[in-house]
Amino acid sequence: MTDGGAAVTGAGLRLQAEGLGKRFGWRRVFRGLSLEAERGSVLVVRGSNGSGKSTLLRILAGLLRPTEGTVRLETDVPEAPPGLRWKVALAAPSINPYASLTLAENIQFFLQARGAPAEPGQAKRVAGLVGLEDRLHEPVGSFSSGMTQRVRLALAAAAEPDVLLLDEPSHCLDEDGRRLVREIVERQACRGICVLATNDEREAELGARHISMDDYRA
Amino acid sequence: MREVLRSAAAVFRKDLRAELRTRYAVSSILLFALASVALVSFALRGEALTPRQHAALVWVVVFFAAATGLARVFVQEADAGTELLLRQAAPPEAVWLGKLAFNAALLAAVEAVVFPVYSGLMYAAVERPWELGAVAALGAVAISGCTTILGAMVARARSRASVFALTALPILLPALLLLVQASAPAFGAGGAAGGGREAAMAVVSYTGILMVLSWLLFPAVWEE
Repeated sequence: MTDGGAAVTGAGLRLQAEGLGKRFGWRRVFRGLSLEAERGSVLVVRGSNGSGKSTLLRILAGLLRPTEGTVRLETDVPEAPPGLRWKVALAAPSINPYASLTLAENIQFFLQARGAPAEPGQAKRVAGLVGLEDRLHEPVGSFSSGMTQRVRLALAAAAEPDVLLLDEPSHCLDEDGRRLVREIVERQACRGICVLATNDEREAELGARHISMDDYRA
Repeated sequence: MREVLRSAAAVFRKDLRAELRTRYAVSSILLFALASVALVSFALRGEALTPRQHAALVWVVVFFAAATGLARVFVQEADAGTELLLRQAAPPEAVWLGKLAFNAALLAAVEAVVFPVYSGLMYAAVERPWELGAVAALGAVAISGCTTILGAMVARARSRASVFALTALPILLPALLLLVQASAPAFGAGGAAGGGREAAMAVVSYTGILMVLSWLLFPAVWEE
């Protein structure tokens, strides 16, 4: 069972971080952080501004090297490509889709570059995850902030990762968008692990396990 | 390797599609190149240049035109906030290969306009156009091979324009000198100024070494 109570499929998935710390130049952001999550977990990362929530998620995504400590993902899928990043996807307000490409082109690029085979109707299905199926052929640069946030969520979820990392997922979203976030988190919890970085009370309720970055401030 | 090539093809298609839509890089490179050729032709009107001087001038124009636009493939990713999306989408080798292919295609397209315009405005008779075309294609790959990895480094620097100019010229200088020597026979140079084939082979070797080094170094440059 997940933290939220949904059914879990598959087993043998564990995300483990030990003794993580990050320093940018002389400024230490956090240190001594350890966490563990297994399939079905929704882990909520909280903390004050600048405490390192987004930095932690980037480290977990394999996009940033920790100054100290290790991240390990154990999976039982034999055909999974090597490397942490192909099993993990991150959606964050600082990660933008390509403005001059249409939504369909962004989805096709992201999935094809990650090695997913091209399938008919793939882009429409992914856009449908966030209610943008009728905007498939419009350039993403013409989208509002809320719609762009939906695109970020769709791209990350479309990769069907073992670990989905969501940094402030409700950023700029309306009530309907918040409902979509809840659905994405619940769907991910059935498949793998979801880590949410947020200070939003309603979002934080999506996970039963919480860690506070303020506890690891250097 | 097949996965890397497939991923690189996706990066190439993405960049090509974006460029066809915005035409930002091709416009800036072409504008610089054509303006330079026009300026040189007005300044040297009536002057009879040797084949080697023609070869040198046209490659100087191509190099500086490339310097204005080719680093952009990575700078644009950083400025637009799409870099992390790209890093999640494709492995470093595929990013390098896709960007290299895009830069080479872009530069080859620019050369396809610049060389005939130069020849026309400067009254430079091209005696062996196919040979010049082959050297131009080789030059596009050589210049792109160098500028692609430099572009990735520059995207992380603060003073981007100066860093690119300062690093690209010394690395590309041997290749440019060889390209001048390789293309001079196509403009009619013979005797001591000849040796185009040997120079072309040397460009291939130099480019090959650059490519291998770039392939090995790129992941370290691209990863934070």
